Amino acid sequence: MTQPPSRHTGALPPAENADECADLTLLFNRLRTELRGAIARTGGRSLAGEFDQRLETYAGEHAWHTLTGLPTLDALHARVPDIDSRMLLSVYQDYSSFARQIAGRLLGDQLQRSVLRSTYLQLPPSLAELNARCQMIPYV
Amino acid sequence: MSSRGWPARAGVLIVLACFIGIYMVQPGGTRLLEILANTLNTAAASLGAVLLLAASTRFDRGLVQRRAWLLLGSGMTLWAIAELVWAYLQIVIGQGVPYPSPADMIWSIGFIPLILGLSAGHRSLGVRLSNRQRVLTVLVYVLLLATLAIGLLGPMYADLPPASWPEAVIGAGYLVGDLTLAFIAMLSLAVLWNGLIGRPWPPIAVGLLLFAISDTVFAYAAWKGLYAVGGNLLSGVIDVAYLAAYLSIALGAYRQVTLRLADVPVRESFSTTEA
Repeated sequence: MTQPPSRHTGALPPAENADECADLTLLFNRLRTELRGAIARTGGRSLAGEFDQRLETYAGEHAWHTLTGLPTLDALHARVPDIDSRMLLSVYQDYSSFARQIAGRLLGDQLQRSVLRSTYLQLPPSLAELNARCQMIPYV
Repeated sequence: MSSRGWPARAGVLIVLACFIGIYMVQPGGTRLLEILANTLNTAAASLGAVLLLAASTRFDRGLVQRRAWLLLGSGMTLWAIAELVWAYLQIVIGQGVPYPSPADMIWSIGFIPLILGLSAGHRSLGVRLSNRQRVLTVLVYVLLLATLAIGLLGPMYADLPPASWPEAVIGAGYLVGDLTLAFIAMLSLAVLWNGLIGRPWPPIAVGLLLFAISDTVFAYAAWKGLYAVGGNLLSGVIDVAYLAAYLSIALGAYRQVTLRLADVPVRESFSTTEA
């Protein structure tokens, strides 16, 4: 598979930008995986599949491919977008807010809070520091 | 609330309304009513069992929730068998059905998987209840238990001859078992009430509360020698409450089987500042 051309135009040096993008992607994937897992455990696999599908649809409708060059959110498991990390942060914040909103409707406030809290507390130090800056996984 | 679920709710209400109507008019006499009541109870319990078992298939193998719904389905299957045995005894033997009967033994055994299933399901949520929720649910449980035990079972069993103790034990066992089931269902409901996955729990909790009330009233009616299908208002209340309880649980299981994300509105236009 050929690597798409870099879309990085930001202020950070390319190596630092790539690291930041990788960490942001890890954090976003962690949130998605934990929410999906909680939905599958408590509501069943088809609801978890619908959650994934809804998030993919949202990303598709909100310029995911145009901004990152990746076809779907699932492609994040294989590749990290190579764009300005500030732009990637804003994309992930938007999508993660949407993911939390759907998960909240599915799980209810109390269970969602519990899932977010345990995800937050289990973050490794490097991601916890990043999360403290971007609040992708809020401690609620 | 989902607009997709209305046919099931309407179906339950129509069945109940028809049953009440037939109960009042009694076309064909009490014999036919007895057959109808027993058939409906067995059918509703079987439907509940099938739907509870079907609900378990929505979860991947190895998940606690799969086991929990499987246990609920097994418990309800035992209750459906008990209904069948009870129907046989009531229709074939008639007024001379012993209490406790073999059906009561099966009902009692059915409590075990039901309680295990509900508690496993609740524990797997991994959520600690707030103090207010804990106090409220315990309060409701204790109040109902005290009201039914002191108001009904106490006077009934106070001067009971030793030969009737099995009757007292079964009556008290039903009360404690039903209320325990309703209590655990209420705990799950308290955690999940505003989420889509909480939708099965209101009808299930209502069904279990109806069992607690109708089982206790039945124990009272049996003690007084009042229970006879179609014979009086008290028997009518018991029979309608039993059917409503089974249908309510079946409705809850149906909701679990048919949960869809499309049932909840999600705002597509979104701001990144929203938490």
